[in-house]
Amino acid sequence: MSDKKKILVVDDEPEFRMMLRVRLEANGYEVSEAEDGAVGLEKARNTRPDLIILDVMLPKIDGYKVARLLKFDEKYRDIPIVLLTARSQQTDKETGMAVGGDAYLTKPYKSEDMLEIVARLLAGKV
Amino acid sequence: MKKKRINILLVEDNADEIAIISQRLECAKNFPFNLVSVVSIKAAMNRLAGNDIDAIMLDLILPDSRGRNTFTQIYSRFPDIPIIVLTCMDDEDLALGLVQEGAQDYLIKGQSDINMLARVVSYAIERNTAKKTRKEALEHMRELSDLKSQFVAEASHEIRTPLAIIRELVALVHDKTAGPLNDKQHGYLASALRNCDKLTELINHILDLARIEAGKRELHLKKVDMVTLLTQFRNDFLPLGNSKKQTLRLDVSENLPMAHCDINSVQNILTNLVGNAHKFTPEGGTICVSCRQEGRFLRTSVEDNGAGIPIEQQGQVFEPFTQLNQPDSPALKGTGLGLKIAKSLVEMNGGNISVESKPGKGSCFSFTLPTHDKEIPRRILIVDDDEAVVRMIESMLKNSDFNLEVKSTLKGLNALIVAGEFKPDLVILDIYLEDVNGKQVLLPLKQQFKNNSCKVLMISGDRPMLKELKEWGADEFVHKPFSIDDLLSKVQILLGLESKTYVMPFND
Repeated sequence: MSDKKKILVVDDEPEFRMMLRVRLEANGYEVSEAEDGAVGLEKARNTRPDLIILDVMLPKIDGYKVARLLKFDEKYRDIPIVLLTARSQQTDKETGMAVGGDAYLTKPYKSEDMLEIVARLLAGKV
Repeated sequence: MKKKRINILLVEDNADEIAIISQRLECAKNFPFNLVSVVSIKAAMNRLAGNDIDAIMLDLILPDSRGRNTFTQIYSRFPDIPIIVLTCMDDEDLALGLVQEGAQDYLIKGQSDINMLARVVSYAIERNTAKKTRKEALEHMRELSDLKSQFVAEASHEIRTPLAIIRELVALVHDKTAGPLNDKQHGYLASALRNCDKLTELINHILDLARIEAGKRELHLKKVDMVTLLTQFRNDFLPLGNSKKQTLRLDVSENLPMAHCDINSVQNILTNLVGNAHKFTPEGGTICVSCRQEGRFLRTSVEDNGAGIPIEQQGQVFEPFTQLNQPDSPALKGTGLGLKIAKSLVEMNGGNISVESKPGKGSCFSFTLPTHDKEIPRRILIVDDDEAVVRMIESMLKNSDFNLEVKSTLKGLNALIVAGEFKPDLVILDIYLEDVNGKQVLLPLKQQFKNNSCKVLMISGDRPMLKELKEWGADEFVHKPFSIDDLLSKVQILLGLESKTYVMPFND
């Protein structure tokens, strides 16, 4: 049984998922993917990842809704969620925090920043 | 060339009047018109519904309506048709009032000759058309502005996603996750990464600027503790500062009053100014951020000891896309928009931004923010050699319900020293002082408090001095003898105060 932390990446751009996988695996994480909100929600519930990286613009169910559904559920509330977006408006950030996102990153981001946030959240610090 | 006929609706119940007007219009040369006449408001409303009337001549006294009401009934239903009010000689005031409310013109019955009637109608129609065109132009501009911000937001969103992919792919290769690299390859990729980051910054700035210009930037103005904000900012700066072994020193006065501003704006402004200081300050240097109270404002300054700004460029630093010539390193180039954004934000928050710089020594960028109103009393310094007058003014100020702190001095020479310590928002200054001429106090006082942060209310004996006093910088005047109302109304205006109970009309 590997003790690597498991991260679920939910983004509708295949290239983006690929890049995140490469980056995260190079840093010792185990990665699973989902291409839309519905699959993302299902995998989150079935596989209980240690952390979820969630794009807010998703087909089927949008990222905000996925976050809200998970956070309002006792069973999954404690899984940290990092929200990704290509928008940078203040209202988006506030919405993100309001639905229970634990961190918020605007694309394009520096991978060091992303890794730092992931590490911090997995270590249990906010 | 055949002119289009003008349809005039005459709303008048007096047959003689109708005949006169009809006759006059017939005689007017080059004035093709159709006159339609009705005798009541009700009939007028029905006729106007046909949508073919170009102008209305309206008698205010009708069988089914009188006075102002006649006008408002028609104008509210048909605001786009020019109305010319027909009035009797003793009703001229009413007619003038209606012009201010929207009527295009008025005519006094029995006093209009042929030419006048035709001219008045033509001009009324012209002016009305101009009014409509302007309204449409404004709406069009608003629509365009909305479209522009929408476009900018969409475009930048579209740009960000592929940019994010490029950046990360380049980063992955640069970080050797896809295999080993030689030095040259590593160097090229490092440069590519830096440029990706510059593009990102540029997009962010363009978006910021577009939103500010569209007025869409939401400001949440509230009480802000600058000490906490600056301390937090200093902590956030540590990693950046460490990269060049720089320290950020905080110099904040004790008991600083709360600011009244939008936190996001201030953080944005600071990021901008400190970011610049970081770029232009050498390794191991110090950046000093200070915050002091300045009358009704808080002045925050960011000082660096970098290369400074050449004098001929100092006036343009806040313009968009102005870059300072940096021979050192291309990495120091910014987007050219940062300071323009900072300036817009400062001004939206009610302050001013400025720069002082000595080439070779460094620069100091500083901006002001208003203090939170209710927190601190406005300070007034009274300078008058007559003790009785000083007592009188003090008691007038006390009897108002303004939140004030008042000091006084009988000597002009003393005034400047007291003002230097007390830092008043307003000085009430008598022009004739025993020890010095009031002018000799006024000029240095205005010099001392730059950016007009201290207003001066002169107590003047004679009117001819007004022009001179204005030139020397006086903001307002009261003439002896003055009443409590005279004084308080001017104080209220100069200090921008709101008063719950004391509302005075301003008479000059």
